[in-house]
Amino acid sequence: MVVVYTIYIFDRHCECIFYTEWNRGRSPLSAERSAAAATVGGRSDGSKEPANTAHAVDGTGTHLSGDSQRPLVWPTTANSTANRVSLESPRNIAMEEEAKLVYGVAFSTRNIINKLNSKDGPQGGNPGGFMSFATNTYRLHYYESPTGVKFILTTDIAAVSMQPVLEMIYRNIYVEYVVKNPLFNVDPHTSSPIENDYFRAVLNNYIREISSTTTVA
Amino acid sequence: MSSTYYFAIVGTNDSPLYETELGVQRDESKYLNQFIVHAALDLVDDAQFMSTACYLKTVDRYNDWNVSAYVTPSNIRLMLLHEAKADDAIRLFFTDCHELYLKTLLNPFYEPNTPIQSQAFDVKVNTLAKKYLF
Amino acid sequence: MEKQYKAIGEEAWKNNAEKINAELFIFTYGSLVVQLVKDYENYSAVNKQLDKMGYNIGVRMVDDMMARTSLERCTGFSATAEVIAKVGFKLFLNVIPTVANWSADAKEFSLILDDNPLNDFCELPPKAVADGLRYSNVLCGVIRGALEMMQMQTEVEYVRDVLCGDDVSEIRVKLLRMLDEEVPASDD
Repeated sequence: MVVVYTIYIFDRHCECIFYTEWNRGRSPLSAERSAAAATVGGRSDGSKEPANTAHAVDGTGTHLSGDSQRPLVWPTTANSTANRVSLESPRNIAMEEEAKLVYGVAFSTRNIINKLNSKDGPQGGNPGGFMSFATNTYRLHYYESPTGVKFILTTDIAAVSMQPVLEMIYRNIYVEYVVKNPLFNVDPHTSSPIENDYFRAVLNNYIREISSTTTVA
Repeated sequence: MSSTYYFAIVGTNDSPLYETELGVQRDESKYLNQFIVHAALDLVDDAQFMSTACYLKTVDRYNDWNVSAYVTPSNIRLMLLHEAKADDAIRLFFTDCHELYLKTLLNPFYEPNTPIQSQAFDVKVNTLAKKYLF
Repeated sequence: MEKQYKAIGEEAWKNNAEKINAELFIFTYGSLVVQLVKDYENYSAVNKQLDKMGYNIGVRMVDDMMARTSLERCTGFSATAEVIAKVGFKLFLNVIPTVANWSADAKEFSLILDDNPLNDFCELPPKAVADGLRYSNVLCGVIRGALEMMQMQTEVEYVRDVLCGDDVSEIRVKLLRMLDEEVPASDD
């Protein structure tokens, strides 16, 4: 049984182009949603920080209750079809900060591992083989595609190797639904967030699938 | 045996797409050839409804000349002026020329119903003529 | 090593590539080029457009190729050349060009195409030959786009083309520089 908390996808320009969370207690994103829910429901008790987003929304608004079962995603723009947390401002500064920090940590860790690894490998990439690190509450898994797209997954500490899972996400979900989508901009000079409903749905199903089986862990 | 042939491909609006004289060149016949073939087109129109085959054999005569015709399903007419009768050889010649025409049609730069200017086509028609008609 | 790439290419082509009707593909490409010729009325502009289109294809294609095969990042430019020929071309066009004419500094090579499905049926009008239309220029763009995604900035162009009367088609690939991986912008 794997508990997946979050996934971040970073493109070649160090931008977070996709983030979603499943079982995460508190995050800049869920905080924003509950704030939005509170406004919609006509309540102002934003002081009570909910432990679980789904519950909090169920309690507050009828408006968002349909969405509450769906995982939160980020970034979303004004014309995104994702469950929008707020209509006017798709920017979430706290979330941006967090994504930057996550990238920084993974990037520096990978670099130091590459440096310590004496073997001569191809330039760039992940020749040192950084796969994951763990704290006593979660484990962070790292996978880098040959084209430099970085996938970062956080799970509970019991999940030892998520490499096959991340590779599967890259090969069969990211490439199929994002790269092959002609509307997605793969321009190597600018970044654009993934706003593809299919991708989101397939990824969500896949994560659910691995969460309910014991074989992966 | 030296003989002269005149071969023409006629488009759907009766304009020539390709014409060539095969064998001995006779200057004075140039316009006469066009004239004979053009006159025969009406007979081709009549003949094509009498037969389901593409090859219509000899449709017209003019002095010593026989006019044979072959109509593709897209209504492109291959016309041949000849003196001697040689049905089988001419049928084979037409069939191969039809195929050659189809290959030309596959070239993205060739616009259907316009004159064929390809050198390669010219060379190949001459080869086919040598093979079947002489 | 070379054998291994060949096997990877064969394998991927056999098992992981969806096949489509070649004529449909060739006609589609043909009418696309002809439409460009009509719209731009200038052959070098058409070459440029084809290259751009290829570039957009290439940046996607490379991910697709990597996802379908077990390839890793190449260790050197010569390995890259082999992969382009034996895996890339094989997987998408089912032909294997010959890698040849390496420059002394090993930063330039040629792909010699004996057979190019895109060229089938095509015969260029004399004016297009004279003005230097590169009918299959899309391939150059594809290679350039794919290599850029692998952090290699390249210059790719046709130097010889059978459609223009040369005896073989030759695509020249020149490595300009390796791109550095981007680092996050520092916070002020």
